[in-house]
Amino acid sequence: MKKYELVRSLKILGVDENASFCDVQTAYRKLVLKYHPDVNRRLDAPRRFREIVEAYGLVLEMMGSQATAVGARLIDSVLKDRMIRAMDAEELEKRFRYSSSPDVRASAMIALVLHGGEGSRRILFKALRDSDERVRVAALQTAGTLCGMKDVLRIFASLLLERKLVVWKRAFKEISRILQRRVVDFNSEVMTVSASRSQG
Amino acid sequence: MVHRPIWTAGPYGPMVVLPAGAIYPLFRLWGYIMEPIIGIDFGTTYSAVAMFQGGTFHTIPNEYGDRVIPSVVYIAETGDIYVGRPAKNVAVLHVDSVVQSVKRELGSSLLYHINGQSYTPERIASFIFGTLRSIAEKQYGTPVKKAVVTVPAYFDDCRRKATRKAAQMAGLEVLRLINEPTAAALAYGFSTEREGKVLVYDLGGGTFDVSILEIREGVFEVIATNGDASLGGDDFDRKIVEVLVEQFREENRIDLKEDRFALQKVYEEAEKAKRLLSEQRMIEIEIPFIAADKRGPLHLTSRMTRLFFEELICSFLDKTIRLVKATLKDAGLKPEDIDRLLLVGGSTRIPLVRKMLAETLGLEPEGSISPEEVVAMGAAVQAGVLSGQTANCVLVDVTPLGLGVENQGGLMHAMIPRNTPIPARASVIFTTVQDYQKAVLIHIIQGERRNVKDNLSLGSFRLEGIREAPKGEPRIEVILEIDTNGIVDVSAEDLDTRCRYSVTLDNTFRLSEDEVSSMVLDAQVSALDDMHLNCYSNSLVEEERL
Repeated sequence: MKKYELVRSLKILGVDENASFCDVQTAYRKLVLKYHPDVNRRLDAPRRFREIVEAYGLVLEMMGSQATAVGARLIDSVLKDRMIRAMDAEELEKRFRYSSSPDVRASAMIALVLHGGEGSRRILFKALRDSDERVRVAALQTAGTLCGMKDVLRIFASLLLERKLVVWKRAFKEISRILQRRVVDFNSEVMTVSASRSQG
Repeated sequence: MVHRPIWTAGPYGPMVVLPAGAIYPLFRLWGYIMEPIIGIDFGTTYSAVAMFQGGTFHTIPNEYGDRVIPSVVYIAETGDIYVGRPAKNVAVLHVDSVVQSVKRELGSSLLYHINGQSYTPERIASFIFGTLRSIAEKQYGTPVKKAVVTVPAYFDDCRRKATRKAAQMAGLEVLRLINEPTAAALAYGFSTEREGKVLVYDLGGGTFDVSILEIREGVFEVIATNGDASLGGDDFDRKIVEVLVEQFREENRIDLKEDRFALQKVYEEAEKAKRLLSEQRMIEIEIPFIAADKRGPLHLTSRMTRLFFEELICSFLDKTIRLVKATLKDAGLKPEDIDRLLLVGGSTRIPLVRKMLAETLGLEPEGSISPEEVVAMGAAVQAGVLSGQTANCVLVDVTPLGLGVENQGGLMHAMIPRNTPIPARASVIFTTVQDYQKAVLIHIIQGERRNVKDNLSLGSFRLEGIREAPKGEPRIEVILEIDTNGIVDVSAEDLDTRCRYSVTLDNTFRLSEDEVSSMVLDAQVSALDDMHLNCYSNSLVEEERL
């Protein structure tokens, strides 16, 4: 029942199952601009609008709005930084690789992921293996907010495969927290595997 | 079937014949564009009117050049009605026939008796709306029939309806009631095109509101709203008056409170003193010939420092800061998440307000628009949206108070929780508790508390003519709706027979002003209380079932 509702909500918002927190927000805003009774004079506009609001609420709940809000805050702070905004991908990558300060590395990583493209996943994986814990946690939080569910699962699975979980206890906790909230209704096989592992 | 223009060869070459069905919407569109819609900020102490024209908005000055007019009405013995500055000027002379702060009484059953006639608060308010309308008409040169009117976010259903009724009495069709803090954010966001999370702190003459909005990609989304429908600059004036009157009594043994004319004069001076204290550190208050005794006329002279004034109003401001923190909590945000602080209302010119907010949020307020006019401008922006003149922004507001029905245990069954985006709708299914019961009394309540008695009653209605059946069998669906104006609508339907019940709410029992204002603070304090009560009442219902 719940899963059906979630799938329906995603359909109303016009996003796929792998949509990220930011994607959902953008989709919601576009729909609101189109269907709010103020701007749409069709008779069924109020009903459509209510549906959209309800769907949005449900999807946010499923994504674990607490976990994603932390990530969103982090991303916001990077977006606000004018210096970082002015840099191009190459420069950011340089910063991410060679800077000695973990804060600089973390913000460069987030900016790179925001730039998008194929490289973003690679950057995230790299950040997850960073020597400093702050960067690792930032990477996890970014993943929780910006990446779709499938990407998060993929990251988690790869962490499991590397069997370095003991070293990254904090990181592991963080990601399983994000996952447990999200995957309640997605009976993905990876999840069942990872859940049983995490208990052991 | 699509209405497609048909090309024909006319006597003077090809021409287009439009089907009748296509012409009608064109006329309507024309009407939307040409018909002026004004934005009205109807305040407790001051009101303003604004309009949207040519992609921008501005407030309309009256014939004296004032952009805000005092919300004061004077009804002369001749039957003439004066609104605004002329009325305020004669307030001392005609204490009995001048009405001030009528907004506080909207929706109550109070009557004003002036020159042998009685006026409802709505009637008095309609005079102010009429004046604002005529100011706009002079500017446009055409009749104005439609308006967007602002109300405090924390106004409940009754007061919203009363405001709408007052505007209707003045011959204005209210296209939309919008909340004052949201309107302010709309004006701000529209004119500066900045994005982010905005906290609006609206401390006006009689009401306080705080809202947190997120502005992104043209969507103005209200995240949380809180407020107090009876806290404002009027309270600060009263505090100063109390001090002055007390001082005068100690000096001269005369109680100014018994002399209504003198008291009115003191009120006016207190308001002036309050304004001056925002700029100066110390002022002298002088009111000559305020009273007389055997020795001759007496004058009131006093000194007041800003520090002393701040001490007087500190308790009020503490309350507002508490509400700001509660709103942040509702929104699930931390003070550092707020990007901008927007101050609305004349009372926010007080330096202490700015200081306290800077301490709480660590932000300096935005100072681009005048705090008195920004609300009217926001209403004008909304008018622009509704008339189709601008389509790139939309406002998603929330309901500040929860809405629900009373259940069997005397508890509130919340159906629409607060901070739900409006328009909202919820339904609940009722049944009978006795065999062959013929009617059900349904009690609609608005508020935050679990216990019905602590909340505001919107009224109750009887569902008559339920089909005869054993208890628990009939299923009656009651649907509660909040429209985009924040006004509540109720309907009911029998799910088995599909027969609809007509529902009219009667507002017979209303709480007094103070009770309403303290409702939410109470709700926060006594959440623990409610938990106990909840258990208790649930057990009662259980017992009944057994």
